[in-house]
Amino acid sequence: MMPDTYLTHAAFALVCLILLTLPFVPAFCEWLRPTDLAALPVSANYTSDIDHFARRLHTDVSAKLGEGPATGYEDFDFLPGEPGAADWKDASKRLIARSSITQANAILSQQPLYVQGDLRAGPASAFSAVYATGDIGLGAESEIHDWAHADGVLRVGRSAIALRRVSAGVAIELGNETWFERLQAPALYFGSREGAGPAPYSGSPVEATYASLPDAVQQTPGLFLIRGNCALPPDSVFRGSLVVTGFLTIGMGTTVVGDIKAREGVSIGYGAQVHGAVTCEKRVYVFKQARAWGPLVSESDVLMGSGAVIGLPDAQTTVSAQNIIVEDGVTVHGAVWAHEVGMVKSA
Amino acid sequence: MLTDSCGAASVVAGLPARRTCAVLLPLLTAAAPAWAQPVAEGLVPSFKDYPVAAVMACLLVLIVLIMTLYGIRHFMFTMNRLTGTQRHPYIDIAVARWPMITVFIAAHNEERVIAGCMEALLNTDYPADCLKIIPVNDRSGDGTAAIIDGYVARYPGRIWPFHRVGGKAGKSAALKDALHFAQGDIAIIFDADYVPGRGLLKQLVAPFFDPEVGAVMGRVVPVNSGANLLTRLLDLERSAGYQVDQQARMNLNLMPQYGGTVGGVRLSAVEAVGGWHDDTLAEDTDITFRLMFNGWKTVYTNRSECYEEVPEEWGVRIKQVTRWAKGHNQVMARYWWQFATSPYLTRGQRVDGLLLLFVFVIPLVMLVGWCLALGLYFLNAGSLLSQLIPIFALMIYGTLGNFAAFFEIVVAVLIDGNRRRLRLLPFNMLGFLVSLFAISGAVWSLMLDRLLKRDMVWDKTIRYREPHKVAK
Repeated sequence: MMPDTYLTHAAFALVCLILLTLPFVPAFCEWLRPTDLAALPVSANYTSDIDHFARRLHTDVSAKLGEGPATGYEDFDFLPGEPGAADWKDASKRLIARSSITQANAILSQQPLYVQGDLRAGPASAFSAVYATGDIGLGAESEIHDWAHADGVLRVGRSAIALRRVSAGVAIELGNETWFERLQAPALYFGSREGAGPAPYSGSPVEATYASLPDAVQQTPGLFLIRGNCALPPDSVFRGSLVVTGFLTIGMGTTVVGDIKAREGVSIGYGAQVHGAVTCEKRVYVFKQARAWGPLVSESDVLMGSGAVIGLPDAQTTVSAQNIIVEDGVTVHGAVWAHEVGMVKSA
Repeated sequence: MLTDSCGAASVVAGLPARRTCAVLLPLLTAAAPAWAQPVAEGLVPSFKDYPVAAVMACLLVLIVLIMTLYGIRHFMFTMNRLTGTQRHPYIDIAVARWPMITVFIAAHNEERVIAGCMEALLNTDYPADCLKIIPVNDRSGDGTAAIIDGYVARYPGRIWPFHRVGGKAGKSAALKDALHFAQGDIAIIFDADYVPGRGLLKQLVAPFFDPEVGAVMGRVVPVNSGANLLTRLLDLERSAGYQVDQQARMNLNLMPQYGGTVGGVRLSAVEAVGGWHDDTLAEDTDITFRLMFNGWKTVYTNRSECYEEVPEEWGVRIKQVTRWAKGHNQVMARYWWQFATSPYLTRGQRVDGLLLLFVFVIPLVMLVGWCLALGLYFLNAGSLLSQLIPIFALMIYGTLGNFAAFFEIVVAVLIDGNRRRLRLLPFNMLGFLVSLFAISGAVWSLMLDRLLKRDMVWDKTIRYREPHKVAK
């Protein structure tokens, strides 16, 4: 008979062995009979195109109408010729309208809607997703929940909510007090634009150089670095890119021909211009009548004053930030992406 | 009673003035040979009486502290990935006036894969008039040149081949020669086995709108993850390395590493920090550190994913790790002091960068630690060791984190949406041990290289994919 101490040691060794080998049981099972070995899916065709869903709907509709290859997703209902007779509320399938829709009252459609022509709906309309081959015009306090795309111009009245993706082939016009997330069109017009707007800045800028600024270090022939805060004097023209580790203030009427980056914040003064990209880890202020070619990227907020223009008609760009507040009268050529809040504010 | 120069007697007496000394002493001087140690005299042997054991114990404690530091670092990264703010500042730039770029495809005997890479690049949504594709055919002896020339004929004006027939061997030397043909200020670099998606180039170029960015790195995803146990383990490691490690560094504004492929550099920045070096096995690490300590930033874009092949044989894997270790340690030896004293870095960047620099020395340090622990055990200095068992556990954790800590792996794989493959996690011990000895061997070999003034040899990683259909 074994002494008790040996039994105790043997039992201890056995418990240890079990504890050590236990994790290897599922490991061996998975090795010998794999259940999860596929490569992480990486879509070869992935792009961040804003009109991705719109194009998919268009493809499905084309297939349904026999104008394109089959997609396997061609289950639609057709709207009756007279939109007033449409049963929007109880629609169970995606909808196709073969002609333009004009309705003074609100349209509340929970199903994606494809319109061959223009769509004009009254105040307080609501769509989950809508595509029009012409223009889209929605009255005040309307809502877009998933996406909207117009091949022409997309107009949304004041106090509307345009969530997620809104795109247009020609232009998007958002009324005052409208909330948005992601917009893209050759021209984005914010607010009523009814007022005269701020007067254009008139000044006569003179050539200047970063080398004359305090603590400027030339990194490359076209790039200067300044540690700490930096203020570019008004009515000057600076050529080359600039990185500032603190806060960068661009004076009124000053032009920067190059890209700028500031870690603590950027202020682009009244009538100032940046012919290049603006990147910032914190808040960016774009004052009235200021211009930036873009992209304009902030990891915090972007505030744009009335009359500011971002991008060029023939060189569209992107504005991206957590929160974007734009005043009445701002124009952006390209895309605007507010990750949390985007709002049009009365000037 | 034990006494020593620090007044160990006061530990027993509990005098407050010597409390610090009392806490440190057991850690610093606890081990001593049993044959020389009076039995049951207490836990703390005298430094004076048992110098060998005491020195060994001191070294071991130091190693434990280093490992603990690495452990904390990995834990912080993982928790940041779980709970912190995720930074993807440039990913939204979908519309812009895109700059002229040159894409280099590093190729040495790549007939199996080169066509797939070129095909994918020709299919990209980057504006064709702003894109120059240069396959860098570095002294290939197989059908790589013919395949490239076939594409050049089929797509005139889009592909500009660089057939390199002589010169220094190795990817960095080939790229250095090829960079002379770059157009524009941005060079994007792929290895020939990579298959970039349609939108990848725009994603990789977007961060360069920030004039402070000197290099950009995307995420590498193993395409042959299911081939065998090794590839599955490497898949887990890669997940952790990118999904957690790199992204956490990006989130914390530390030091994401440019990996030499699925990424790019700003040529003016490279020029400004001394140009492209061809005398290193890790030109990617070399350029990352030179950029950082000269005031540039590196950016990691986790959503810019691209497939690559991982080694399917242990021998190939060992060669790969050995090359990485040698190259990385070369960089460490060259730049650690410049990095430590750079005026451009924040404290966090400096600490993270130094830990990253020394990461391929740690396995050797770990091995030394194991030897010390065993030595002390056989010298019967176990009283201290038994107290340090929890720290040893952390030490092992920290060393695993050298490549991808278990915790990081788990979190990364879960974020990726894969759950069941985590069952393989215990087998990563195997991968860890192989890497441990391979890296330790590489460190030793590097020292011999320097001592004997031997040239370092570039070992190319074998490809496994079937030749691309178009190439047939």
